[in-house]
Amino acid sequence: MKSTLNVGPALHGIPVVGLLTTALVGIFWFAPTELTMGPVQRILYVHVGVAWLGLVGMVLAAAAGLGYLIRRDIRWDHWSQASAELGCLCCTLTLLTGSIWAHEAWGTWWTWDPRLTTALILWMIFVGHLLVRSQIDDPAARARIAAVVVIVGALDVPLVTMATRWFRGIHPVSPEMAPAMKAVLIVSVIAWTVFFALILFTRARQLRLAERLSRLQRTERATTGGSRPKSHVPRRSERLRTGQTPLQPHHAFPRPNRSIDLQTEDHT
Amino acid sequence: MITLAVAYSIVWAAVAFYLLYMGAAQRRLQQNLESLEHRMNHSREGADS
Repeated sequence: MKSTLNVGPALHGIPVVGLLTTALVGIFWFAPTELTMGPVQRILYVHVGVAWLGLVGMVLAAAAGLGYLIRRDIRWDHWSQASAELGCLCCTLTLLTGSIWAHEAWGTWWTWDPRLTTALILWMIFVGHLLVRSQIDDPAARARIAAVVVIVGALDVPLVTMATRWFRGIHPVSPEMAPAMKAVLIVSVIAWTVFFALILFTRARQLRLAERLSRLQRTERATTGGSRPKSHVPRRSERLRTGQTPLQPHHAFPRPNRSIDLQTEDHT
Repeated sequence: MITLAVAYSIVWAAVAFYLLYMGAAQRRLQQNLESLEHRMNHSREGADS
């Protein structure tokens, strides 16, 4: 087992950085300034990009969650987690950039417009999903419950997408744009999507490696005769039989070492 | 213009934060791998002797 310096992701990053730079040059130098709102309208180019990726993140997380429920293969859960993390990041940025833009355009940081409200619900689902993940130690249970949460959460995606058409609000539907603006917007969305894809693949690969390392550590423990004593957690029926109360102090049930993330149970 | 600068700064700061988080996770993985390598070599040497 030889640890080597992996420069692959860095090499993949070079064209992505080039693409993002092209998008930024387009946004600040090529795109014309909008007459009514002035330079602040340039928030559009990043706002639309991250909003699109927030929705993509939720759809991918739900699809991967469904894949896990069908196949029971932990690799699907890695994809689901990576997509949800990135989707949550993009959804947060959508709300922040949208709020800043709304303050300039509408004179308020927030309004209960249907598009904004459904986007906020999407963000809450992302955060709730990640919180659920952080609270469950057993990987199989974590993957199963997170998959259910994210699949139910994906029902909000069509609501966010169609909110401006189905309900009356102040968020624009699809405003007319000058061809130069449209071109820059397309380049910006493509650049953000490629960047998202690169981070998604890297994160999913990282989660997969962590899982493999965890498996190696378990094999090592098994071959060395289990130098780490395995704690016995009595079942509820056993506790009742031996006269223990169901509610034991926390230290009575030693938890695995949480400082090392790789000490997880295998369930593939 | 300041508003625009603030918006773009927030976006890039958030992206940088996530990349740093991934980097920290990668370093933790590397440390665990090295510690595993060390333990396995140690146990192999013990078995040989």
